[in-house]
Amino acid sequence: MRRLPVYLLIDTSGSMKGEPIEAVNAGLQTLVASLRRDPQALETACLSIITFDREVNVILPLTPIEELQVPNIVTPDSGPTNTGAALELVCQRVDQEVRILSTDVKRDWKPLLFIMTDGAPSDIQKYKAMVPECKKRHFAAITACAAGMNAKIDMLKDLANNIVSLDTCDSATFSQFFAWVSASISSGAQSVGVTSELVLPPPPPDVNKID
Amino acid sequence: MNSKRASKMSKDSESEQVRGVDTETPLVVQSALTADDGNVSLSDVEDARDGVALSSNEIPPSAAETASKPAEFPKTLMKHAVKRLPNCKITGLDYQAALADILSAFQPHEIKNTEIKKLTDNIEWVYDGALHTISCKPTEAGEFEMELCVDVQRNERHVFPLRLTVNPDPKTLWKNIPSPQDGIYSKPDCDKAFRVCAEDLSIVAASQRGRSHAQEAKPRDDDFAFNYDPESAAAVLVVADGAGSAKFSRKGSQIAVRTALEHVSQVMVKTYWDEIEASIRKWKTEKDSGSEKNIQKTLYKTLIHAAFEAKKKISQEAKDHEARYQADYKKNEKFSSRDYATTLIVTLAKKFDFGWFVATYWVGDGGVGVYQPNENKVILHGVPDSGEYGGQTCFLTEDKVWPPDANILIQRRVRFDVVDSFKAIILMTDGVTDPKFETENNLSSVTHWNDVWADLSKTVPWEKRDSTVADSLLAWMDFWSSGNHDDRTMVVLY
Repeated sequence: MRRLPVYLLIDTSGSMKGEPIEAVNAGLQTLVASLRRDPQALETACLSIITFDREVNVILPLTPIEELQVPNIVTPDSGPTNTGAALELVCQRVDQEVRILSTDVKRDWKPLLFIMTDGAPSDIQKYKAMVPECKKRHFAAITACAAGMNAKIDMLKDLANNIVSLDTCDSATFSQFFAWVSASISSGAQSVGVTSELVLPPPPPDVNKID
Repeated sequence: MNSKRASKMSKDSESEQVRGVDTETPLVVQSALTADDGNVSLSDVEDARDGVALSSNEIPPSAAETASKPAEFPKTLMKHAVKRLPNCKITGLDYQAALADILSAFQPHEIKNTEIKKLTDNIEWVYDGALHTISCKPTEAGEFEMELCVDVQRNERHVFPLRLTVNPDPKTLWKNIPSPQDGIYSKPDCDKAFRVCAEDLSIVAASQRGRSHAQEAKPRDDDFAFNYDPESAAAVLVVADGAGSAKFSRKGSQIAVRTALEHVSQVMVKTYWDEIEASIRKWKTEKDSGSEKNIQKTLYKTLIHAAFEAKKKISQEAKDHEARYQADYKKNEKFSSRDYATTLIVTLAKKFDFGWFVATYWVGDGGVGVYQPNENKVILHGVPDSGEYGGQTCFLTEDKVWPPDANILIQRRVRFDVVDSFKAIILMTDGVTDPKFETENNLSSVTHWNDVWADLSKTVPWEKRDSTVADSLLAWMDFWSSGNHDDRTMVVLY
């Protein structure tokens, strides 16, 4: 079975507490529910969720959609945003989980990475060191989402080939964002793109594309 | 039994208290059990959680009448956190989940009764009290809720809310939308052909659009072509798989198979075979490098030239299309052969009195094999191009598959053999090889070829040797393989 591995990195630093994280939780439920209704995604997509605040945690290892149960994400009251450590962890997970270069095992499609943050990396040295490491993992697309006004877009430009921003961190906006992520995963599951970069569908009104 | 016991309910036994909410300290609602069926609905519990006291008016009169009798039914309701059961993979399957881990919280002797209460319709649960399992056979997808109620000796009823996600059967989600037949480079969503070549020799071909394309009304990117020349007893078989990422690859594959067929057929006339017959005959027994070089030289002129012609024709089409586009729309738009990217496999097979000469040019994925089950053997006729990740391959249209050195080109792309006989020579695109062989190693394993042939033979009446064989092959191509929904094409000489 040829899988499409999808990694979601979610900022769970203190500023996400309250409505934002509840909106993320609701968004993830909707995301998975809509992937279940897309035959291509249901058969091929696998999802992993990594959260980052002071700690970085794999709260969902790479799991096929059909087996997946969305965990509930919680946030600490305050603390730093260790984005760099999250990138380090996702690189390790990709090395462990994504099947490449073998004549014995069916190779996976190139993985997708989505990272959502409402601030800036606190571990800036590590972040800068990990950006080139992420590039080496040959993601079909790295998509960054700057959520709310305090998110530092400039920092994301080195990392991602697609950047979107959300003006607010409310549930309506997050729900649009996650619907778009779901559409992107579906189009990734369909794309048998080899030489060309993965083209993501146009984002909805409250999700602003940044060039 | 609960309803009977409820009627014996004692008013005195009711005291109202709420203890806790999470898993470790279950929510306790005492005397909330006032309903006459002895059960407490979810909303009652929530009311209690919100601190809404339940009115004693809700106690049925019968309860007061039997007030003097001792209470036998569970009077303390302990509600636990929601537990999610492992997902049911698809509808229509038998599903079973173990509840032993929940019940292990109790000593077996203290459990008086267990039961399942369904909260969502359209699902039937069967609870096995001995094995502590629940099972069902969901007929529709969605989220289903139920409660496991456990009555224990200390007059408590523990309620464990359970949730089950049932995935839809992907087969029911796929749509088959015809591709537009009036658009640019339109082509039929499936194709098939059959030809009798000689006694006990036929060619059958079929090409079926994949579900991933059918879902989106996209055209079939695969193509095939073949020919048989009775005079020289030689067959040419061609398949091509247009790249999913290239917008006009359906045309690229069509140009590739047609050009390659045309070129090989033109060159491969009687004089051509006269020229190399001696070398082939000698090579069969001696495997000498002189004959090998001779054969390779002639194959360069047939197979490699044919592939190169196809590449050139595709570039020309890109240029022509660009010019047409500008003329029609008065707009500049760039088109290149990348937009027409395609793989290509060209095999020629010629019968001599000393055996069959088989030669192949192959760029990209898919597969071609000379299947010889009588000798328990398959010759994979070349090396597939594959990258680090799934779906990566090379295309005829790329410059990197055209090294300037003819020897390198021959070594990498062309293979020939002489065999005494074969059951079939089969060319396939990756829509067939991916699901049926999975890995490159399997592609050269005769065991896997035996399995695929056996599977094919269940549907395809090979010995009929008429057009129904092509119908059956096309029907076979509709086989179900989860996650494998690319276009599928096969050409078989047998």
